[in-house]
Amino acid sequence: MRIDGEHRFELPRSLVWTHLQSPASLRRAIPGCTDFDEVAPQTWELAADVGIGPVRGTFTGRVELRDREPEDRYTLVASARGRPGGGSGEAAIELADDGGGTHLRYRADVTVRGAVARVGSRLLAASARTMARQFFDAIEEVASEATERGAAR
Amino acid sequence: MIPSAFEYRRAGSVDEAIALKREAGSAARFIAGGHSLIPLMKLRLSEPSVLIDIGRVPGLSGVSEDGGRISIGALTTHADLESDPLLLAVAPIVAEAAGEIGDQQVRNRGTIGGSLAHADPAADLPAVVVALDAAIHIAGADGPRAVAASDFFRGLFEVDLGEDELITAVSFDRPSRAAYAKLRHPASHFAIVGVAAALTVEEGVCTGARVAVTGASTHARRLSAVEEALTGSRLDDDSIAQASAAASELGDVNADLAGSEEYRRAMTRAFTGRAIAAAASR
Repeated sequence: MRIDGEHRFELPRSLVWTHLQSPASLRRAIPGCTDFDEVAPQTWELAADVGIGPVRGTFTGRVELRDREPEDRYTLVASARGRPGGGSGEAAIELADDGGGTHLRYRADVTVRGAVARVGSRLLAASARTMARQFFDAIEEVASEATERGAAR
Repeated sequence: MIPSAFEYRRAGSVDEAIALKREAGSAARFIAGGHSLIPLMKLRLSEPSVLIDIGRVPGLSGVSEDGGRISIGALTTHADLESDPLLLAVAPIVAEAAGEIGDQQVRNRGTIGGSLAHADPAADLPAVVVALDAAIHIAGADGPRAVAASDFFRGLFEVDLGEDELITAVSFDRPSRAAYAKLRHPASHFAIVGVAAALTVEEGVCTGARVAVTGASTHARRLSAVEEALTGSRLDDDSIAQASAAASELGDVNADLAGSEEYRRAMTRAFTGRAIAAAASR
């Protein structure tokens, strides 16, 4: 299933890019992330407790950042599995200047399996967008904090 | 199809329910009709360790009116709403919307409080209470409070309700002209889109409008551009068509097997028109 979306950051593009690529920032921004270990260049294995409404599950998965063209675009390849089911997907992410901020656009192709797929297909797009928003909001927060710390120094 | 093990507690009062929830913590869930929660538990998508049954708490069900303000207890079932003589007389939108939920078995068990607290993005009653500018009455350890329906729904399954809080009632002023129009999913009967419209009309001119949509995005929300376009209009075919076209300004729209984004946007416009026309003719 195809899920497209966008997000606006009130931060310059170079800073957004840095934090979208930084393992420390990713670890903090991935919703419910409990483990995050590098297993290959630009590739991490992770565990996360994810909850949307009454549905909760612990997932383990892998994230890889590919086709990186600094500050312009990259591809995020991810897969996850847990008791309620699993899924995998690829998202093409593009960044552009937008006034003083940054405009991010993603186009994802996602496949899900298991109970999540059987009952969740109705909610898949909304859930994916909700988690993407949580992730980007957290990236923005992490990046802003880092900038403030830098400025205070 | 067998849920994982859980403890069962039955609360005899609102205060006892809140105390039990505080004691059991975040792994506990309240249950009333159970027709949203139990299917998720059977698939083990939801695995609460404790269920606190509030289904028999006295004083939380029924419909009443006091000085033009209608109050519906949280445990009132959809079947009760559907056939309630007071609602049918003064707020038929609520009875109609309740009658379109799921099937008869779901309506016999499911409650208005459960539907609002669960906040499925395609549930019918959230759009209705937002359009009626209802207050959601909530009980918690710090005492009772009320929140406007349009502030209550915040996101996907996300509502303004604390861990130890529960909905006790919903109240709203007697609407003058209100109607609900729904495109229902053929199997689940959830709303592919559902639109609730409540209008105030004086001498043929619309002086106030609240229009809310469900099924289209993460949660029930107002269509403010539609409301603005309606206000001051004469509610003829042209002005209704023009106002409905403004429903396209929805942000991110859901897509699934039942309908693509584009289809949902088109259906939101179409059912916005139907709900407004039905409300105007009341």
